Amino acid sequence: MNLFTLPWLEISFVIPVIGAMVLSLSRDIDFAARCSMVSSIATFVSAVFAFVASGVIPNDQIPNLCQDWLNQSIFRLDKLSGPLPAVVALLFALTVLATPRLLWNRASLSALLLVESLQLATFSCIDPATLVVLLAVGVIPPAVKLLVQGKPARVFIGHMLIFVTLLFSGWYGIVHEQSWGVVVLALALLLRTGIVPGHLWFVHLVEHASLSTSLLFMASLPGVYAAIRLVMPYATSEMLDTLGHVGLFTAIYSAGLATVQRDLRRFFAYVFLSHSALIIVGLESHTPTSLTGAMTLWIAMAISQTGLCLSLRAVEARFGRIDLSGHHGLYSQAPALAVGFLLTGLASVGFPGTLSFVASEILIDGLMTSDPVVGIGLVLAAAINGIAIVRVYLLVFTGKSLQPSLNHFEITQRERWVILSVSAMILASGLYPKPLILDRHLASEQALKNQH
Amino acid sequence: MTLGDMEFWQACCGVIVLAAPTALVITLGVTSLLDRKLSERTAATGVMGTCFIGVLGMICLLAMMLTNDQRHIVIGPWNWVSVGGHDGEEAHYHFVIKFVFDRLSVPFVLLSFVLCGVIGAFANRYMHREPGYNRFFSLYSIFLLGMVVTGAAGTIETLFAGWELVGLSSALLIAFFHDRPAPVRNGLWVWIIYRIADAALLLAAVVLHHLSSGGDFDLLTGYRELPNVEPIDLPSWPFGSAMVTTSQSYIVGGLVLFAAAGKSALIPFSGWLPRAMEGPTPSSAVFYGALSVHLGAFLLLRISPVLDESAILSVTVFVLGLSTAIFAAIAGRVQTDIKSALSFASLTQVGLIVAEIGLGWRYIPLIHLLGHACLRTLQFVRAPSFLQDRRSLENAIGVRLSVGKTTGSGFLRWIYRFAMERGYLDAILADYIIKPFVSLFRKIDRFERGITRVLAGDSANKGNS
Repeated sequence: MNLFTLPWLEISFVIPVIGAMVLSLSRDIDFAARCSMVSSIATFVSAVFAFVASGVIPNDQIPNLCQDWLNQSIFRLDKLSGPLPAVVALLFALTVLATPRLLWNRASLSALLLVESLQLATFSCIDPATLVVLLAVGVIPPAVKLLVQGKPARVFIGHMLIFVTLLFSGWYGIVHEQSWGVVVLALALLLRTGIVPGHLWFVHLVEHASLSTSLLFMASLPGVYAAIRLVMPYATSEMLDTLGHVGLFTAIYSAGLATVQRDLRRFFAYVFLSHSALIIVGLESHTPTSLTGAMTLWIAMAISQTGLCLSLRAVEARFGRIDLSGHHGLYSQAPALAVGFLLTGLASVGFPGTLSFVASEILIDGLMTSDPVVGIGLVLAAAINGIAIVRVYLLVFTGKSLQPSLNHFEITQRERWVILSVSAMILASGLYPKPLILDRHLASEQALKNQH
Repeated sequence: MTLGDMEFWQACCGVIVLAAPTALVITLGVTSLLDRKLSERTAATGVMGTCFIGVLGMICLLAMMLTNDQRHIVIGPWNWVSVGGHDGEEAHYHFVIKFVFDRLSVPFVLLSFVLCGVIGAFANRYMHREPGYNRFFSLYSIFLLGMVVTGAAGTIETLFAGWELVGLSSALLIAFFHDRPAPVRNGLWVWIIYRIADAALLLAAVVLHHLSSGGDFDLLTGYRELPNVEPIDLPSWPFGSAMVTTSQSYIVGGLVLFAAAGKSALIPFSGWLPRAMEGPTPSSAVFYGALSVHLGAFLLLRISPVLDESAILSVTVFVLGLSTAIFAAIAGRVQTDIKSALSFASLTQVGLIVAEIGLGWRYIPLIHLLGHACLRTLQFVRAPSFLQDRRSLENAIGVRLSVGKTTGSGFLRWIYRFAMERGYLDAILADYIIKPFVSLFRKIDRFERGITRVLAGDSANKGNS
């Protein structure tokens, strides 16, 4: 039997669920942490196998349990979704591995694994109706976590209620062939992606929820995935142009706000929003080049922003919430964290040698053909983001350290391996991006073909 | 290609020249990330060894070029990325990596290796037992790689990659003594200027990509192999004519000039150069005396056929260079510390080099650049010993050296104040660009926090611990 003929995709859904059940049965926190690490790594491996299988063996030979049981193909990897579940599994694995011991908590780890299963299902869902349901269900875990922890949840829940309402209304309109359906659906997905003015919920979530919750809820950009699956097939050119301009405004607006922040978490929120908006911009010109650039940037951003967030989380675990009003001098305490922060930060703004660099080049090149103003705006947003990243690096890691010099807050071996892995991925994909770009180009062609 | 082919050996030399600094960056970077820092001796040996290999490679390449009467060697091109182009269709987009060794890049890359090697040896002693020794040499290696890539770049995208590496290492080395606030503040200022200028270069790269050249300097300047034409007769630098129209040259040339102004501290960006003196003397010497500060001029030389296409552009370059030289000459007169004085002296020469480029000269500014880089490097590394040198001279001649008097009123006093304030350039940038930007976004931030507080109600204060 060929290894790739196993139902790896379905296995990747099930492993986190089993892992969550197993660790919830144990009272030993160390066992629970190890269980979650093993589950997340196994899920990642499974998702990678599923992706490789989708490329090497014909579709009809890939097992599809939904097709067999329900006579309907709901979950399948196609050209568009190919590597996305693997990327999602990677983000979860990195987050679990980099979780400081201080933050180990059975309930949180268990919930994280269940959310992972949900997100994997979302990114491998090809049935639009199921995708709508999964997106709606996906907003529940962060809301529950905020409520359980006694954190302010009104802003997040309020926005997500609007999102779910628009989502279902829009889908209803599309199913009944109403022209307003796609507009309403697009509004829902713009809200989910944090496009201005529907971005306040994300900033609030980052401020009050744990960094890992915020990261995992947004990093993989399910809103963008849904936009490509649900909106692009029905959107008119004018609508896509509007999407692009709104995305551009968000990118520059958020980048500007990131440069003036006095709170580290809010800085991260705005930097993230700015980058995710760039991907929305790429959908605008709906040409193969810009769409390829946007899809590549999507993956580059997910990895680099995860690395950045994990660096920030490691800093907070050691030094508490960081105020950016003055310098903290943390380099002497944690030099490896400083390097990791800078590397992932620069990777997210398209520094040469990283995947974002080539992705941004392709995206800007594609946009300059169709809309030069948007291309120029994108360059401006990237420049401002670069300033924001280095500003925060200098504020956090340079200056006179107020910590006692005998204390040593250097990163643990687990965290070091996570940072090294992220760095290696960023640089390796930046130096040899051809296979990924070819894959994303095929995905962009499929997305354009799906347009009515 | 076989072992007997000259092309094979030229390619080998070219690859060695590029691979050596790359290997150095990887070695120092990976060991830093793994927290297995190399000893001072190993790091210094690595840097000097890399520079020695680079110099050797360049000399061999130069010897082969002279022997074969070649003026233009291409390493590559490699189609690093292409979008589309499968199933027989034409690719929508290419990203080509290519390196060119010609009359411009060979001396510049050779200069980079020589000066980096010399300063590396100096820094090995100067930075001995400095807490950030390893950090210094890691950033130094990134700078070396950036200079070599920029110098030998055959496409504007490749040049941009090297350009960014130089900018990052520059800003981080200015902030090297990061326990003090001034170096950090100045490092951030320089990074901001670089970032804005680099945006212009990125736009120029994209625009050039869309014009006929696809970002390739050879195609831009009309260099291509023709049948029945000897390589020596092909129009390699500084000859050639731009394959763009006059209006296109305004756009490309204007963007490149903006980028060059930022990198080389031409007006209105001249304020960052004295700020950069906060870094260690070795980095000040090699960056702002020798190599990095000349990158703008180098870029203008590289696209010189585009400048020739438009008289207005050439005049703009000339005026910018000359005004920078005059400003720097005046400002340099009133500086109270040796490094600031040297920085303005350096800027004066850079301004003159740029003015020479604007006049349509090519070899003269190149020779000027090479000579100036060597002289200024020497002056910078002697700067820490300036007072001792001065006293030695006074002892030798037996009298105190005169510092001169400044008297006068009205206009002279105004000029003095203008020079002391360094032309108010930083103040203008701060007051008219940075402060309004920061003020606007701080107001927006306060507005958003207010809206969020209203939406969140009292629960925001309870949960915010």
